[in-house]
Amino acid sequence: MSPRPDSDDIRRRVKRQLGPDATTEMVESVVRRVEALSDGSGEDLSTDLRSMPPEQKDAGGDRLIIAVFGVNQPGIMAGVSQILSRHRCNILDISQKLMQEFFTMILVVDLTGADTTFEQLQQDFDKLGNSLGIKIYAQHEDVFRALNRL
Amino acid sequence: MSWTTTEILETLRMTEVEHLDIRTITMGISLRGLTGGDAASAAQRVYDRVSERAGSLIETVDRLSRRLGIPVANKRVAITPVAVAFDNLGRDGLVQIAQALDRAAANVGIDYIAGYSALVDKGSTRGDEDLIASIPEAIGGTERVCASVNVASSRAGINLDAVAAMGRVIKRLAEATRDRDAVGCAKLVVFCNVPEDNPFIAGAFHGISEPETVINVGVSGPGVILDTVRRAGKADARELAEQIKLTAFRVTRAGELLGRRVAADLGIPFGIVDLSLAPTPEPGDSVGEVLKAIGLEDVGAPGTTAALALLTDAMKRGGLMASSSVGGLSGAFIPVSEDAAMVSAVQKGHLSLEKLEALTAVCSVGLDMIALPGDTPAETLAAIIADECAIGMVNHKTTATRLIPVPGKTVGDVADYGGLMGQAPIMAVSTLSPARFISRGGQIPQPVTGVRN
Repeated sequence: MSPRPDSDDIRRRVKRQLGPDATTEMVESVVRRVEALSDGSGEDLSTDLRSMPPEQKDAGGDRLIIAVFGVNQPGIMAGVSQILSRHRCNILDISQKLMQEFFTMILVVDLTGADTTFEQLQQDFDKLGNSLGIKIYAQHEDVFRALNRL
Repeated sequence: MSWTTTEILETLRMTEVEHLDIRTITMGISLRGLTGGDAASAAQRVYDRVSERAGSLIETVDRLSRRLGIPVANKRVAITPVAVAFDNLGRDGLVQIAQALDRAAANVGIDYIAGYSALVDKGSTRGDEDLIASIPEAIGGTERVCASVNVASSRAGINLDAVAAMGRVIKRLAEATRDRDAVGCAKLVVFCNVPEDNPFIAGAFHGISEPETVINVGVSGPGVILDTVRRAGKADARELAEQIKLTAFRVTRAGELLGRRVAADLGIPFGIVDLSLAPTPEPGDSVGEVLKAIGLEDVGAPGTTAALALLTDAMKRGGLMASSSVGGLSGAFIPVSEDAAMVSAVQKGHLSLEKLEALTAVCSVGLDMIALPGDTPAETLAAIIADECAIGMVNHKTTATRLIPVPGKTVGDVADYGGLMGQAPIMAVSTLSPARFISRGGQIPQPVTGVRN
């Protein structure tokens, strides 16, 4: 087990996770729960984060949209989901379609609770994409929101 | 929130296929409150302030840019007009400030810092005169410092004395950097109606009505717009404008998203998004190519002015819908050296200085990176500046000139600056003399439309 992080460290990490729009109250409330959790006295943290109002979660939300395109072959879906599961990323939505011999898949993935960074994931996807000869694009959901929604 | 396949594919096409990027994220830093003592101690305070405030600019922008998957071409700094912040230092003292800025820019890892500037559209203070006189030494003797002088406005008219002085300063700066094709002149912009929040180098500065520190964003996007125009096929003009508008919306949103994240991370206010189309020498990243895709055989053909008007207005409409923080220049840049299609049009004789001047009336910013024969007289340079100022003054728009009289070169030669500045073919300029007009000096009064209230 890793050494117990101090409160300031937790606070910094929580702030990072919640994003720029997080209020001091939000940060403090999560930090208290994390501390209680590591004492063994708290409830499950993940449900609390998920039940936050969507606009607060979305503000700095860590959701990716992943699009996969390529010639259909065994191992595409397995490869992508293995990477996600290895890093504890939660798949929120998935749509998959075959267009003639082309495999297309779009996933919405939650990185909250993941043990990796966006960049690391991208590297893993690039590696998989190269080995299968397919294209995997991962992009932060904030970019989709900014470019498409009023 | 659920996403439609169209939204996802459109977004991925822009970011992954068309390589949407942001041209510049520019930090504005106030240099006020640093006077007192001698020039050396003021210069040290300037160095310290820029180093401190911009110290984590590059790291922050790079980190957030990677996280969002939107590349940023340039990270730069704009400062309070030096003539305003240090009007008591005298010519040599001002040169020391320029040198301190140069060192500070190198220290924080940026290629350009802009704001060695004076605002003299209605008259010059002694500090303004010192700064203008110091430009050949200050800019010629530094690598990263950029200067600008605002010599005209719709409110005040055109300061013809300052215009004449700028003609002479440009000649001296060209001479000071003659071994590098007068590269110093690429770092000097002469303005009419200069905006105070322009993030684009070389004409940027941190205006006197701006906060202590601010983040401004200049979007890019000729490549993305070019693709939009090509995909629009045979669409009529209104439909074409509509398509460009939709793309401009997205480009602006991407710029504002990244700019606001950077500002929040640094704990400073976000300023504006500048909607300018800014080309680079990269193939396809060209405003000239967009104009050709609209349907011109080459840039400079009859119809170029109308096509540019359509393009820039459609850009603005999309951008204004996308963001309520729009500012800066928000036009289309048609620099001759930085845009491959423009260079080619000049070399083929399709695009003249006179046609470029006409284009600047419909919202490109100005005569930008125009290389001229080295023997062009100072009065002719001044008169070109005066013409450009007249267009800006009467039309209530920003116009600018970046003229480069390249010593020892003439029409048919090319000035080569490399990198983002690219190559500039020497353009022909009229040899008729405006000397008697320029030597009148004084102030051209503002147009009647400039007297508003």
